[in-house]
Amino acid sequence: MQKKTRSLPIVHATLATLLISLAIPALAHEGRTSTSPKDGDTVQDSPAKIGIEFGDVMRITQFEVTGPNGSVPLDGQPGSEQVERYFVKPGEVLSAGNYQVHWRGLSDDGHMMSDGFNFSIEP
Amino acid sequence: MAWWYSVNSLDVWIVTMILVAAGVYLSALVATGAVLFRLAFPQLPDHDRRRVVRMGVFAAWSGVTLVLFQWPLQAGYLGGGNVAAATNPMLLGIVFEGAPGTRLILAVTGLLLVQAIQLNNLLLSKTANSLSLVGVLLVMLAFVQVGHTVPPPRLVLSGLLIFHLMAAAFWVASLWPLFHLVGRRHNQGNSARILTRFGQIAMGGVGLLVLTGVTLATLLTGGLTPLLTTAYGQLLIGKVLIVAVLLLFAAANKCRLVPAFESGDATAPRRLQRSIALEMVLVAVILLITAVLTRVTSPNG
Repeated sequence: MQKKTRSLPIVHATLATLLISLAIPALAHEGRTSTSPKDGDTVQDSPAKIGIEFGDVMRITQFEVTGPNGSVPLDGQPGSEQVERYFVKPGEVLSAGNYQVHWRGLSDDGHMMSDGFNFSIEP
Repeated sequence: MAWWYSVNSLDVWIVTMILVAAGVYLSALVATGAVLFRLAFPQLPDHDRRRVVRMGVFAAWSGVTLVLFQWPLQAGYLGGGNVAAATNPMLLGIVFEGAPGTRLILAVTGLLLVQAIQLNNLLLSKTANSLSLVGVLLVMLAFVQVGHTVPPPRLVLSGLLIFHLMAAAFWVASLWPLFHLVGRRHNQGNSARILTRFGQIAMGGVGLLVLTGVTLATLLTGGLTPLLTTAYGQLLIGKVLIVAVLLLFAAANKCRLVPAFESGDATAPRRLQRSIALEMVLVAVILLITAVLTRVTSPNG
């Protein structure tokens, strides 16, 4: 019992040391930084590439584009490599309408990430 | 409200991931807390010691099962939230090779080791104690492999979270044994001594829990505005409010019900049991909110 009581100041001292060292603001894991086409944009022609850039490395595990005719075929599939930019070419010329892009991935800090963006093609 | 938008947009797969994560938190806290409880109370009566042993071993194996179940769940999520993706070798490989895989190995090894102290029924040997403490440390390290404490200053954030979890583990794991200890009709003098000692240790533990929790929240959210405007901040406020209610119950136990129990008040055991049962319910809600915080939201909004 005596030993346990004496060990408490050590815990407090360790905690105090940790607290004193708090000077740098913490950064949360990075999300997307930009997309192509830009989120919410309306473009004139079928885009040559569709993709996303991140502030840190990410393993993209799912990348889907859906439009007025359903799922859009894409040249290239997500792999297991870590990337900071992920871009794919549509497998066909996209017709006019609204498109939704949805992706999932594993961030460098181990978070399962999911997000998406939209764009439109003018008639 | 940002928190409602986050929660309302969840699908079945994510809800399952949240529930499993909450189960992992609970079982890991109880399994590691049972070790700390045994070390804090080495002279527990046989009956109570066996109860802590059963609780610790059950929690450890539940934790191992749930941690292993998280692996295909995470792979399934990465592939769009379906069973085919959950069994996809490439996705399973991505999860295992990344930070979640490191966490899985640390958690499973730790949860197996924490049982050493519980399996040693005759006396608390130094080897069993050491093995279990190594297990506690591994489980705690597993918690800081993934998530919001990984970015810099990692050492500080991880250290704070480990202290936060150790204090929480001791508290959470003590509720079940204390609930039964209070309800026992005989040897109430010994029960009162254990309760008093628990109150003394809990004072330091609660201080540690609150101090580390507040510091972590401040560092992760970066100020009052994100705390009020992001889903993470709003859920965190909800969690803090429930923790505050929990602390009120704990304070009432220490200041009113335990002294009444010591003085032989006939109604005290039942009132104390009711209060501890409510604490258990609040702990479950807090762990559920924590699972949503860590799975669905991010401090940066």
